[in-house]
Amino acid sequence: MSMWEDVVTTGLIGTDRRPTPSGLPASWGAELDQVVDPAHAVLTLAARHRAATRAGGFLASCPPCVVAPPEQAPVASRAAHEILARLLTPVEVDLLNLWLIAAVRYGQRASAGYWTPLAIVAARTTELDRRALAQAIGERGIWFVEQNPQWARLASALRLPAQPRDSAEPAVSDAEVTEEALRADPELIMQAATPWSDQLTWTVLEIIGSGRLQQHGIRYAARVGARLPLQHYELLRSAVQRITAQLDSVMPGGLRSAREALLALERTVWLHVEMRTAFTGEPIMVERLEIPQW
Amino acid sequence: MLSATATTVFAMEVWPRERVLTLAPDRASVVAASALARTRTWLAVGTDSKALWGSCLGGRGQQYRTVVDLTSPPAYACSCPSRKVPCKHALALLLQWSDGSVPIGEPPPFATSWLDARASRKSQPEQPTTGRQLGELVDPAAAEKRAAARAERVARGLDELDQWLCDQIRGGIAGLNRAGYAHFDTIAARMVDAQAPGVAGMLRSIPAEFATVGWPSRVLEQLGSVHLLVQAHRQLDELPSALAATVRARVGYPVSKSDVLALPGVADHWFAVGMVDTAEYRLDTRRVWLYGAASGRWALLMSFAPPGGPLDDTVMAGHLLHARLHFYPGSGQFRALVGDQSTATAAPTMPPAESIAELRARFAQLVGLDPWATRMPAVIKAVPVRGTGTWRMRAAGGECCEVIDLAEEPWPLLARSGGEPIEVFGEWSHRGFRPLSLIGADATEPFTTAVVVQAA
Repeated sequence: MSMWEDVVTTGLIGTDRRPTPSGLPASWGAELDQVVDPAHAVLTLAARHRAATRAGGFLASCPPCVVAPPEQAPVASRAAHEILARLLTPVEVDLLNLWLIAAVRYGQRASAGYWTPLAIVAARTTELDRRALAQAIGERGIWFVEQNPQWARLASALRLPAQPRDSAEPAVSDAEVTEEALRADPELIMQAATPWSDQLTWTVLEIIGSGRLQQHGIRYAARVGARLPLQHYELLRSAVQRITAQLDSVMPGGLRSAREALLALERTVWLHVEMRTAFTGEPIMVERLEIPQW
Repeated sequence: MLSATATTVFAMEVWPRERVLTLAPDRASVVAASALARTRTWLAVGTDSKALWGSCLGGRGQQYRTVVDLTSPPAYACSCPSRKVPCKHALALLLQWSDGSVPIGEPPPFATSWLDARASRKSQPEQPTTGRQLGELVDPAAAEKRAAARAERVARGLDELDQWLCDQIRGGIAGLNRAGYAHFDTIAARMVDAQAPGVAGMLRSIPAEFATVGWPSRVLEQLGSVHLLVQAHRQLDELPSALAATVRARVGYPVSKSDVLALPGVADHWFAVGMVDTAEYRLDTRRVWLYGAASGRWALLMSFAPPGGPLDDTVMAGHLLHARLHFYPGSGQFRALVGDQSTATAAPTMPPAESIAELRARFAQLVGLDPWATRMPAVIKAVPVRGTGTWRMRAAGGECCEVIDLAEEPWPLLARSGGEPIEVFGEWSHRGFRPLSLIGADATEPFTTAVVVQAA
């Protein structure tokens, strides 16, 4: 038993039942042998031990860890990361996917500071585009994910060879999605080749603005917004102006759901606008649309 | 990247998002306000660069009127029922402003009335000082009498405490963990009555040790440390003046700000390298660590608030100020107050990294100056390494220290490191190192293990 352990044992049991360690070396304060009150001596020894352990002690060492592979792609701009931070609080998976895909498109990557929250989201839901994530964080980011055993499944998914996006590619050509067919089945727009024609965009905006999709409208509009060509932002402005001028044409009770869907659509498209600026540095040349309170 | 005090959006100076988020009382408020800031439920939002205002439509048709006074420290008014300060509406308004989406305008009547009332309160004349100089006492004789009475009261309280300490040791500390917090709260309350709040704080911190393996050794050390303070207080008149001041500070004798500001200051370009907010026994505490470019000296700015209350945000991590800092008296003390300030023009100077051996030697010196010291600022260059249940910072030579006091595992730190040494600022203690900021070639950024991490 070390001298200190001896002192602790006395402190635990109490000096009324156990004597104070005697024969202390000079460095411990041999003069304490002369102290009348053993409790006082134990407390003084404890104070000295505290100071000694703070001032001294052994230097610990540990083996090195593996080093990550070097970075390849450049880091996205601060503005792009500010958008990413916004999409993470609270987490909006659909919009995060847009950010990741944009980063891949522009050949940039997410800063290491964001790998942890992205990995947490990706480990929690398979809705986050893992293929885009793998490319957006790069080899170094995948190495990082591999270090956490709780992310092992995610790390394996990120290591999978990139599959061609066959399933995501449009199955129907632009020519096959007519305005009439689209009015009958609004989901057809998701299969149409992009960029959409003005007529198709106008039709889909009419569908959203009519309020006929009711509670499904917001989700649908957000998905449309993810695909809407940026040059069609002005068509959205025209659609809103037309609705404002012809409020009677909107389905009874559908005005609120139409407005919410248009808000979701506008927000998604505007995010695209902001991201393009953030990733390319080009200024925003369009004025943001305000959806009025009808 | 340096987190600046303010950025400019559309020719209007706004606070960066990260500065706004530091005002949030809790994480739930951040999430709620972030979502609320993006909605179109806001009406008549505006700013005149001194204040923000807006009306937010609530869920049941209510309309909450929110005003934020941007002068330092910021103040908030909202008609919502939330008791949080700031509430999610005020925070959302600040976030919109930070994003540059709050237009310039004239304040509406509800904002004007509140702002005017605040302004009039501010302009109330302070207590007449009768031309008194900084640090000069109104009635030196009366003050001396009060100080003597307090010293007597403290001495009596500490005598009782020493008796209590010896009683613990005589009976043995084996059962103290079962007695828990209440046992220590009772004697701590007695120390508050005896006007020794510093000692009360030391006593209240002891029960936290019971949850850890090997608590008897650490509890005994802490009881010994309190005993040492009692002994030092008994010999206050015989101690060197700097050490005596340290003892008085640790006991909890008050030092007025005017007395500190009356002491000679250290003028320098001070860079706020890192900061940390903690909640300690009915008090929120903010520690902001500064490094002086020319003096090479460390300083600590502390602010306190009741739980959930706003902490001083005039100096935050990443800020650079050219100022004269006045240090509290006492050996080994970092705490200071900001005196005269001027516009900082120089680029921030980063503190140099030290080896783990150097840090240990410096901490030993600190303990020599202030035996009750628990932490000091430090920069280390090391790799975060995950072990079994613990994380360590490993320097190039293989020596390492434990990473301590983090709410979550420091994965963001490993992400930045990639297995290579990085310079990290934090607080060093005998237990290990608490990372607070990352230091790059020319910048620092707040370090956090939370899900939201600051931009690159």
